[in-house]
Amino acid sequence: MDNGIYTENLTKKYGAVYGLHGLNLQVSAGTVLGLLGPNGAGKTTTVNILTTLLKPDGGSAWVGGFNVARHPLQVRRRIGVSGQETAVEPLLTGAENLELFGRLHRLSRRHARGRAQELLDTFDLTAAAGRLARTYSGGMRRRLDLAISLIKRPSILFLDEPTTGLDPRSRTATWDLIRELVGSGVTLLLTTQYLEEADQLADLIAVVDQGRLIAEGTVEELKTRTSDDRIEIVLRDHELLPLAATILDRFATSEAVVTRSERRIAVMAPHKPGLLTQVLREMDAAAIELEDVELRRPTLDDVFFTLTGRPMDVKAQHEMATVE
Amino acid sequence: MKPNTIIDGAAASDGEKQVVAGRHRSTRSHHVTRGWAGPGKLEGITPVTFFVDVYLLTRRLLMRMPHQPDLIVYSIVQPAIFTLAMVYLFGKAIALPGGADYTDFVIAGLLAQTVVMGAASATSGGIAFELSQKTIDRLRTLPLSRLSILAGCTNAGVIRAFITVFVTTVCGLVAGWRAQAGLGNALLAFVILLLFGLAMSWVGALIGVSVSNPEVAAGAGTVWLFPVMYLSNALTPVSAMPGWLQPVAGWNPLSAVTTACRQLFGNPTAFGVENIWPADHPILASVSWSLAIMLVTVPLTVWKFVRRTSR
Repeated sequence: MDNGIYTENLTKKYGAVYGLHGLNLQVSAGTVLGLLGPNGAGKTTTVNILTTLLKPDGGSAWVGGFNVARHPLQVRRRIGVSGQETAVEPLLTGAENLELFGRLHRLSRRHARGRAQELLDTFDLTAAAGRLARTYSGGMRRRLDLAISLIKRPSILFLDEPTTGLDPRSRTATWDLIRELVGSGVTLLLTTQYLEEADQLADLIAVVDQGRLIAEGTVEELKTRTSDDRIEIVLRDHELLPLAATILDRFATSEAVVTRSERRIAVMAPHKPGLLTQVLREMDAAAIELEDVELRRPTLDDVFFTLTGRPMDVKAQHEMATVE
Repeated sequence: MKPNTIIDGAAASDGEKQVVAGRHRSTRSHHVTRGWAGPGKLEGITPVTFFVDVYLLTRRLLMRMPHQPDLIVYSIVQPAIFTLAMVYLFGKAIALPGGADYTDFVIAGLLAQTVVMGAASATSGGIAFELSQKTIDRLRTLPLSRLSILAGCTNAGVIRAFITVFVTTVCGLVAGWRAQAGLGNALLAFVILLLFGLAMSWVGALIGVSVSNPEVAAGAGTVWLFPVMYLSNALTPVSAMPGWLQPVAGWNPLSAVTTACRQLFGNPTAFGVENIWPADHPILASVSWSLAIMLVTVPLTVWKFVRRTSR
């Protein structure tokens, strides 16, 4: 029995716009694929097609050995899904939610109740089990949602931005829970906008942009895609930003990303000894005072930037647009 | 619904094996073998699992009710006021042919009307609300048929309508109305009301999946009800209407249901239109209307629901 996920040339159009443009993915059984991309890259569309919620306009997809379009019920029997927005019954208690979805997964009443108890324990919700879900905090609701998706012990799990909107503490807690799950051998497709999250949880990362796969590999492999270092400087005076950007440009292999509000300029530059010293000397010669300087090895952010020519962070994109 | 063949590009329904063998033989042939093991889209859903699912999905909606006390109060107060107003205020103003008592006449009409209004508006609003929530997506990733999800909503609508039926019955009894043709017949009348309520609930469901949001559903779910309710013999005898409207009212399903209930309750019927089939066979007409309405609305609602949610 193969619990992998495969897509071939998956295409989805929204009117004239491609949500997915020939996406090929492969998640081997028992591994974690992090689907990484900015808002609107097609991550949720991919998850929705693979979980039988959405019909693709072209291409095929197999989940757990079944074609999602031909055997949606067989697919549904094998998957657990936790969507981007939590989907719990607000007017039922946490325990009632779990029991209801357990029984809809054809667990017997007794089995559903036992499993609910187990999951409430695991997800630290026992104290809130008898409270209506609408009184839960965002983090609790997210945990309940995750617990519901695990009620049938699915062999294949889809988590669409599982920590979006969570505070840092809940995020780390959720990561720990996901790591435990992965340890038990499920196949996981995880979408995220957070590079750190993909870095933390995924065996392999697929970078998507505008409905296409633009890179795939382990975190380390992707990082070597760009051998350049990243240089960031913070100026004391924001009026000198354009001049500083011109200077940096001479050393850079990428266009400078200027974050005006933070008086920050970031560029990618060749990994070469003495380069930073040279940059600092030139800044000094131009009488540009620096508040902070940073040189570091590339991150996945930089990989995304190298691949697309755009920063992944939506905020940074916006800043860039206003500078231009 | 789009045919599945689109998914595999050029592959015809029986061509998947060949296409797959040609294009990605080594990596995926085993998936295809599994994929072909099942007979079709309903694999694994049996009548038993279907009814269990419908029961659970109905209960899902009913379990919310204790947490919405305002809704319960409303569904008790509204029919009580309406029944008492009809009996004590309008009753004196409406003269029935043959001088029959208006209270005896109107309760069956109020029950039929209540079930129509309650079921249709509860379900149209309920489904439109469900469609605006995320839980529906979770249900759609479970191994359930789409029909069972919708049936849960329509059942919950009927059950909510029957709260008002119960209140109307009690108010009628307080006002002196009695079922005079025996308990068995009276129960049959309620079965007919239940069946008709279910049909109206599916009409509400069709409206619910057709409108863009819950606010529209609140209006669209009830606006068509007024002509249906007033162009019937539920509250007034048809003989009081203009001649050309009388056949319309006579063939109105609500008139048939009302007359069937009056007959089974042993109340004055005073249909008012002579020589039309529903007037002579109200019970058969009620059942036929209910089934015919569902025959149209059930598949249409499922089709619209699938089309709307999967694109």
